Amino acid sequence: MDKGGRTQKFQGFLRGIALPLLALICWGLATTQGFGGGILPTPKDVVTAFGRLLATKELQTHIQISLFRIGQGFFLATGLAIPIGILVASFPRFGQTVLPTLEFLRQIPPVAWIPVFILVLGIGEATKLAVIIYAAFFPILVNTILGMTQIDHRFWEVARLLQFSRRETLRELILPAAAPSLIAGLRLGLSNSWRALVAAEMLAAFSGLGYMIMAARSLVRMDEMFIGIAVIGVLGLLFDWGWKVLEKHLLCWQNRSCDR
Amino acid sequence: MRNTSCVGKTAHVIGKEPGFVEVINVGKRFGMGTRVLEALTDLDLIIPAGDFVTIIGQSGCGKTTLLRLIAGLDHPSEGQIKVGGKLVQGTGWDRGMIFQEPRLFPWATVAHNVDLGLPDRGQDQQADQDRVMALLRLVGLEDFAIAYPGELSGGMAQRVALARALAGSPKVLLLDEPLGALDAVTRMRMQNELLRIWQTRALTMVAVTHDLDEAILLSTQIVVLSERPGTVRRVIPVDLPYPRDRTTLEFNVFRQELVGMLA
Ligand SMILES: Nc1ncnc2c1ncn2[C@@H]1O[C@H](COP(=O)(O)OP(=O)(O)OP(=O)(O)O)[C@@H](O)[C@H]1O
Ligand SMILES: [Mg+2]
Repeated sequence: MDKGGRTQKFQGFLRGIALPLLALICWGLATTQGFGGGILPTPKDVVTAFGRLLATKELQTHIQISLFRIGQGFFLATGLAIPIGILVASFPRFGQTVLPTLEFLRQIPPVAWIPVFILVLGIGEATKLAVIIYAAFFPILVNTILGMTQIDHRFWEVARLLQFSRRETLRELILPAAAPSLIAGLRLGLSNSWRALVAAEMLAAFSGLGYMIMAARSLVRMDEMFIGIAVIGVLGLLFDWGWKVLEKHLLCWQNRSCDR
Repeated sequence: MRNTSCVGKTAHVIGKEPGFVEVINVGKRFGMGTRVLEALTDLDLIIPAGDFVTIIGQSGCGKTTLLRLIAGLDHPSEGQIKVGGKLVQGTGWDRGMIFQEPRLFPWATVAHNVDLGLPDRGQDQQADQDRVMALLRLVGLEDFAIAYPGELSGGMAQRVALARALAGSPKVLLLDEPLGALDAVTRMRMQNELLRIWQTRALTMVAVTHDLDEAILLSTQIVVLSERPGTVRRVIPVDLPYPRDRTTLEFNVFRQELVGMLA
């Protein structure tokens, strides 16, 4: 990268962190100057609480549990949504059969199902898993269908000329051609399910980041609540960053940036 | 001189040759809403194995349609097509096709694109790689094996498409204005390349072109289609020895005659 580009990038970075810094300063000033009614913790309180949560490994445990849930649920949702999406796009009759129902279900936020899931599945892992799958499923499905229907018909003719097997058609044509859309769907699905998981953990769990916030609430530990909230946001950002890296790598052919 | 007049008795005997193409009384209609569009009608054409046939005719007369039918990408509404004595019912390794645009998979490297054209790929990685490199050498692109199609010029991409089509060892190569989008110099180079490949491999070539010079330069026979609905108006053998030179007197006399016939 040339020097000008680097300077520009740095300036962009500065602009990006200006708001969070400002908020931090305001928060610090407000709480130390007696605003916030003594309920809001000071930055120092939060840092201390953070150290304590780390030392007792409490925070790590909750993070681990939440990540494990999201990993499991997201994996299952992907395994369901991509094949169903491919089937819907490949077989119009199948699409006509299932799409109206799926369209209906898509309108319902996963959180609305939590009471039902609790009654049917209990308050164990199954409920959380169901919420994650529900939240991740639809963005992945919709984008899979979109990606498939956008494949240039001329490439299908090439696949026919080259006698592609089903497997080759999937591996060499469908997945790479639909990859931009697929990745967009996966990214959306993950952030959707991450948010839904936290909600589920607040309503039906005894562990995980969502639970941690609720537990802090019942103990009126505002500092711990803030830590839970911040960690959820940071992890969400990390997921997104991961997708960006993956996208850059997998779709390098789109902007001639493949390193060889 | 190659055998150019195979209609009649001999056609039956050599009809089983893998590169022998028979288009028998073929018609093709397309449904366009409530209208029916007749693209081809009563089309009869016999192409002997090993010939280089170019098809010329006005825009919209059905040249692409005819190639697609031979390739097995579409089915005739009437009549039948046989290649090597076998009825065409779909695509097959005995036929390769190159379109006006290269149609390379942009997400795959040049080498991978060519690799996808190998009929029995995946059995022996090293052998596949060797074959791919040999094909790339054939079209002069061995240095671009790991490039992506987006990094190639139009002419280079079309050469990769040629290598990919040749990877299947087709007996019949169908070319739909493959050089149409190229500049004059690249075009001449590619014409020579096509000739070289045709002469070194046992291939029947069926090419669509709008360029009369190209038709005379390359082909053993020129097939002239009528206006839509397309049918064979004339088959003109090109009795000039290879290699042909468009600056010679013979060449230009032939072109004069051809222009006279088409007018
Ligand atoms: N899939 C299709 N559906 C409907 N009509 C079609 C289809 N394919 C071709 N046609 C029609 O058939 C006719 C012949 O088309 P074709 O593409 O074969 O012409 P062509 O001779 O290759 O023309 P050009 O020289 O412009 O490439 C045209 O009128 C075209 O509109
Ligand atoms: Mg055409």
